[in-house]
Amino acid sequence: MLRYTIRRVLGLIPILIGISIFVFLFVHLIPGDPARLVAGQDATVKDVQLVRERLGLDKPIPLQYLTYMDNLLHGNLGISLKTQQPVIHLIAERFMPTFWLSFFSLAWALAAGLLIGVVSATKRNKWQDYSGMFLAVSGLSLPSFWLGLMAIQLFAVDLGLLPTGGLDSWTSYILPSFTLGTGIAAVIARFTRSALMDVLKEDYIRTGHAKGLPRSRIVWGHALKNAMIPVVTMTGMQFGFLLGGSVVVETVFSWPGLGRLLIDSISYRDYTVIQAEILLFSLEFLLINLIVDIIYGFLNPQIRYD
Amino acid sequence: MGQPLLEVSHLQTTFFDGKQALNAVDDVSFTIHEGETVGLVGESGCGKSVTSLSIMRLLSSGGKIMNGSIHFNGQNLLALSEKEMRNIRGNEIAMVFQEPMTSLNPVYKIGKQIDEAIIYHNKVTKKEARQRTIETLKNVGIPRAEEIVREYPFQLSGGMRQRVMIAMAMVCKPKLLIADEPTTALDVTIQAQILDLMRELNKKNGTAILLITHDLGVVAEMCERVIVMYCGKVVEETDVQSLFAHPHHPYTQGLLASTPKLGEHAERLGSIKGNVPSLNHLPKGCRFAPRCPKAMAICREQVPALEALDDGGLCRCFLYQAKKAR
Amino acid sequence: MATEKQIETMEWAGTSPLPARKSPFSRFMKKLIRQRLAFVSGIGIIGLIIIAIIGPSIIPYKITTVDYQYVLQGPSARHWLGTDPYGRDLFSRIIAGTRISLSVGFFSVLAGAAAGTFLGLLAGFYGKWVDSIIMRICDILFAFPGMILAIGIVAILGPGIMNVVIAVSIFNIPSFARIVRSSTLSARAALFVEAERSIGAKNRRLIWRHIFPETISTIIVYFTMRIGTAILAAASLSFLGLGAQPPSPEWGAMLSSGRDYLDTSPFVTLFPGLAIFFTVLVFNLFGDGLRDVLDPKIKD
Repeated sequence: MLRYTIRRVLGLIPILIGISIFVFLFVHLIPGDPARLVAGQDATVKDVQLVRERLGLDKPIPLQYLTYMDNLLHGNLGISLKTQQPVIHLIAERFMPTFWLSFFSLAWALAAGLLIGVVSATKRNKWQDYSGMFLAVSGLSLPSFWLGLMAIQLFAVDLGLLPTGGLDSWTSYILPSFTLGTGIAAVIARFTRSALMDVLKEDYIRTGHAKGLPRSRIVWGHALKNAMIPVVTMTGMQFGFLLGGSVVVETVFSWPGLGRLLIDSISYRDYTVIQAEILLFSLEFLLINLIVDIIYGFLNPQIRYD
Repeated sequence: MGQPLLEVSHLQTTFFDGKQALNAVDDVSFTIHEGETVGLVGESGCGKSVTSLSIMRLLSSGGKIMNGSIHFNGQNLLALSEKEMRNIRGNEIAMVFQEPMTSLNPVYKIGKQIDEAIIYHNKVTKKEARQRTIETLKNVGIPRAEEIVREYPFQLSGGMRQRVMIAMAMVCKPKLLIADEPTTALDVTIQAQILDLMRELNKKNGTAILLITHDLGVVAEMCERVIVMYCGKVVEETDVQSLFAHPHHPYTQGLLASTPKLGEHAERLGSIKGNVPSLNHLPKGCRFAPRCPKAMAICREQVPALEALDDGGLCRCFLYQAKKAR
Repeated sequence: MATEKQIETMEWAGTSPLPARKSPFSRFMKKLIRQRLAFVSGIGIIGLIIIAIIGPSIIPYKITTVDYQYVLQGPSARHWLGTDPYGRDLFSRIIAGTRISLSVGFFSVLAGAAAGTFLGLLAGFYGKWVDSIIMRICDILFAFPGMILAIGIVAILGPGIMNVVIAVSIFNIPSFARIVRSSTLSARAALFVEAERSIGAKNRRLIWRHIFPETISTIIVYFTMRIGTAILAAASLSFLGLGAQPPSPEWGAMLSSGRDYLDTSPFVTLFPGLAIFFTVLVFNLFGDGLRDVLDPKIKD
């Protein structure tokens, strides 16, 4: 298990370097002079020159990259062009709301997705299966921003049960988590169904029946524990969808999180913040997939005992 | 010979494939007595496994028992509710399957998989169940049973896994053990060990065994009586001595001719021409007729009945019915 | 002993294929969902394509006609789906938006699929360092969550519908490359390629005449399945203000401009959203059906 984990972590290093290069080049790929971007449109030629020297933009690109990496490793993500605050502070105060939003979305997605997937697989080709799968393909096709707006209209405006947006109390989490998790719930449901149907064909399921175990115990215990191995891997990959979706959902619900910060920064052309956010989102995605790989190892005794 | 334990009569099991209805088991009757070991023999696809799964009422989807009755200890299994049937499975009738590699759940520890069977059938604590598990594992010849219970199936060899499967089947002391090709997937040396183990359990606990196999060598070693099946029908039933001494049905003769005998150096092993016909292309008349070296005109027209022979056996063949009529 | 009753047995999903009894309701549902649904969604796609082609010339109102007498009117005989905050006819605008969403979805996946297929064929056919380089780049692209990658690209290129097409096609490249690579590997392993090579066929001929045709059904299935996602992603970007800009009748942009009037005039957001939902739904359903028919590997 330890060897397996170390191998996974080491495997991430080239990808991490690749990501840092892409993100570093981000500012240089924007058409125009980066120093001009930082100094602002009204700055004099002299000011621009000063900024260029201060940020080391006159140095060769590889050297700039090393400086960037050095700063990065010391937790220096640069200064926001708009607020002049360190980017790391801006991100730190937005981090937790997004983290909990993702967490609750995933919890809802797993609960709904697993339930629908298991029911569909065990009631194969019966009306429960068809209804579940129709629900799932619909969930997959719903634009999350529209679902969010309709949920606000129904539960916040018409019924007055929940807040329309912002983050004031735990009730603020309900609608955004529901909106963000629905698409992933649909993917999990479809995937769980097919994984579970494969497992239910296995010989050890017959052994379970021959032992005289009740069907519920066989499905929710023996079968699901095996089916969870591929489902967990797939859920990790869907996490990227969740991070991307959070940008949209946070905009709909005026959520004080990282996603809305990204969109705001784009409209202010606050490139250092955009750059840091893209880096953060991909690191988060990689980290989640690493955790998923480790959970996979735990679920699969063959790897755990390696 | 003890009391009748299992009485299968006129069993018909049908698989529905689209609009087709295929009789995988067709009017099969036989009896197993307490403590007896009976072999069920035939080539693959002849309905042996479906017969055993019908007794357990564990057919794969699409299969239905259409007709007949299965009495176990005087109780008709086919009249029981699913819940009552669950109390029989693993408790009174247990089963061992052909594939030890895939028949154990890969993500559960050995101990848990056996404990489960005890806990569902008996009012015992987890601790008591575990004790009995270890005891049973020792009885089936597993060394270090206390450690094995904490291991996963992939850590064991095929022979060990089959021992675990047998322990799992025996742990509730069933009256009948159905073993479906229990040694086919194993090495020859391991095969002998597993057969010894089953014979020992039969002697010690008085467990009756229905042994399903295509290997007549295994039958000779283990069984008292033999039922030969072909295309879903019983074609011959007799005690093991007469089967080897003078097999009646041409199919049985063919099977015997294709089995190597110990001590005899056969120049060439015999074989039965052709293949088992698929259930949707069954021939008219006797189902074995197209492959039978002794087929007569009547065999291709009419289906022979299963009739008693002079030596007490049963045979489904016009050859003997013609003799008797004369 | 012979009775007509059927005995219920414990079913496990073993080898034999079909279940026996069915209620009339589930039989009806089965037909509806399994065969009819893919068929109906195929017709729906053809319908959408026709609307996209002839729609703009048959709509009752010009999409830019501002009418301040009819601002935010509910659905009526005059305006079937009501009017937007500028008094423009929503029905006409939604019809006109079909062309935008369909072409954005189609062309972004087409570009991504073309580039991805090309890279996948190269990686799978040549193997070795070509394969390593292409797959490492794909790994890195995969490490960025799709929407974040698209947002980053739009942040570089600036907002606009063309840049959205570019962004969405880039995030489609690595998944096509991976899929095509793996079917290329299995096609290459097949004997006939070895045989052709031994009679001296050129690599380029091998790839296009023998390997590409083997991968085509996988590509078609995946292509169809990705279009729905691409339409959804493009609409999301437009909703965020990064894609099509007002007064374009792009559905996501329309929805975004209607959200300020949600409490008084929900239909301004309701109808464009329904249009996105049904368009994506028919593509997803058709993709599912196509997968079941063309790619038996994924068939359940």
